[in-house]
Amino acid sequence: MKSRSGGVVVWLAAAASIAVVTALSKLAGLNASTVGFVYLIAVLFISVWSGLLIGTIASVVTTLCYNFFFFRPYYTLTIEEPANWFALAAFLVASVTVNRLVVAARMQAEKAEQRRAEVEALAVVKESEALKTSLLRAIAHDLTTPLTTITIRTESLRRRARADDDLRDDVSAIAEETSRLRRRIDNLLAMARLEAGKSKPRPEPTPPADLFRATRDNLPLVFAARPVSVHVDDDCPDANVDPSLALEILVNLVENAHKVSPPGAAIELVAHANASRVRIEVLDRGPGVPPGIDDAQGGLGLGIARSLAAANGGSVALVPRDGGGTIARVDLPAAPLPDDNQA
Amino acid sequence: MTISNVVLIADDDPAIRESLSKELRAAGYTTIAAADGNEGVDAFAKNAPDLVLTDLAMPRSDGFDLIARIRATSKVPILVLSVRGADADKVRALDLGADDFVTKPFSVTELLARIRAQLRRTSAATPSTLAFPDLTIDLDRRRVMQGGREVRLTPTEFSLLELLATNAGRPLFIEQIIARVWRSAPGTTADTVRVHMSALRKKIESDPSDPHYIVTEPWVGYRFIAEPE
Repeated sequence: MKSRSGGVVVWLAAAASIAVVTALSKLAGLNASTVGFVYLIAVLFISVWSGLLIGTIASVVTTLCYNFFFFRPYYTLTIEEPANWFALAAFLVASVTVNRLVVAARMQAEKAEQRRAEVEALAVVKESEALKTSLLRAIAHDLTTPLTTITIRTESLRRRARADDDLRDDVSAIAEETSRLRRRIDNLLAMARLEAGKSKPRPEPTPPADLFRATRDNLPLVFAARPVSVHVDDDCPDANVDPSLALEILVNLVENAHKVSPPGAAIELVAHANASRVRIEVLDRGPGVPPGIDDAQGGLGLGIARSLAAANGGSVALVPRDGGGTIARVDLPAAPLPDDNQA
Repeated sequence: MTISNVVLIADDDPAIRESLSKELRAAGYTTIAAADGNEGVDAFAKNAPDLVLTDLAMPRSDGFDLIARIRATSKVPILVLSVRGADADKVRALDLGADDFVTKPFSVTELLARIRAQLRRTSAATPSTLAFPDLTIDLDRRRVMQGGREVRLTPTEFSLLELLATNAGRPLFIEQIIARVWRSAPGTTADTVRVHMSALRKKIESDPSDPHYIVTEPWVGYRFIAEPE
């Protein structure tokens, strides 16, 4: 709603209406008490379309005009009869009160209108969030279901293909691509859930060793294809992160490291305390960090790892590794150490 | 195993029902299938399966419904097929009385291991000695042997290990652990459990960077992952 107390037009209109009322009353030769009512009505209308400030000023100006034009001696601000003092004072109080009442009523009406609009907007937001949530759930279900069947059938095929090298090779390729597709879907759903605000990260103390183990469970083919070493410093605290999002970060980074590493080259996973945070690193012997790397360089996986780390109050950086290769460095908040007296 | 165990599979997707049935039959189980919770309850009443495997999202009557209705009358092991990212659903299913879950798309090997862990629990009385790869727990004498040497545990650590190992393969809620090991002593918190668990893990894991016995189970608690020998 537009501000009613501002704007030159409103000021001019207020001044003009006082002038017109004064002139008409004078020409019509109305007596002083009648003019008081006419002025009061003028102030009422001015209050309706202006605000507290203009209304108050209008009250004062009409009081002065009232005195100047309609109380003897005319055309002066002096007052002859003491009773007129009371009349003027009463008029001023009445007109200021009218102004205040009108403005208060209007503000209340505006507030109610605003509240109604807010409630309506909130309802729309809630509705679209509920829609997003059920949509995400349906998508997750519909994409995961066929993948589950494909995974089960591929595994069955792989078992029976043991004796046939050529067939085994084909089945392995299907298995690998299926799990890659699965991870992409997981990634995109995790991102979509975060964006939809459906899943806020739910941090809890998470030992890095358990994250490494879960990463291995999620990437059996990578861990079978090359040596992957893990090391967690003895004094490394638990990370205070959403375990499933943190796992997603690691899976993406290890997968990237696997993609760029020469065959047989080891990947190292290490975790240690860094200031008051937990630093987890994925080290590879790939071609290293190209100058001016950006998300496009690291592909979708790195971008997603970055977003998920940020959602967990952490960060991901790629730094060159001594002797060649890349260190993907994840800094995450540390869980507070429990009190010693409980041990 | 002389008598084949009967597994009830409840999932609304026919492709999953069929491929799961086929794999479980190949592993020596007898299977019955149901397309929703109502069918599941009927099949349960008729066939008295040894284990129930259920999806959560099903039309008409869902997996939560099925779990609640089975739990009203039976302690049969229930394994949930959950969807990734639906962690709240997973925890709710465990709260309702499900024993464990696997996340779709799961590997059959993993699923079979989880089924074995559940059936072990119901099949035999707990022996006085539990043997895991490179870890032997003598429950009567409260001693733990590893690599031919005794591991010295505090009484609390031993109770923790005993609880976890007798439930090998199953997720245990922090609340369950506090109730069983600390008898719900006032002031016992998740942090208390964390401290003792961390100490226990340091003593029994030969490489704490790469745990082989105890892992955390996100939003639930802990799980003993080694399979008995």
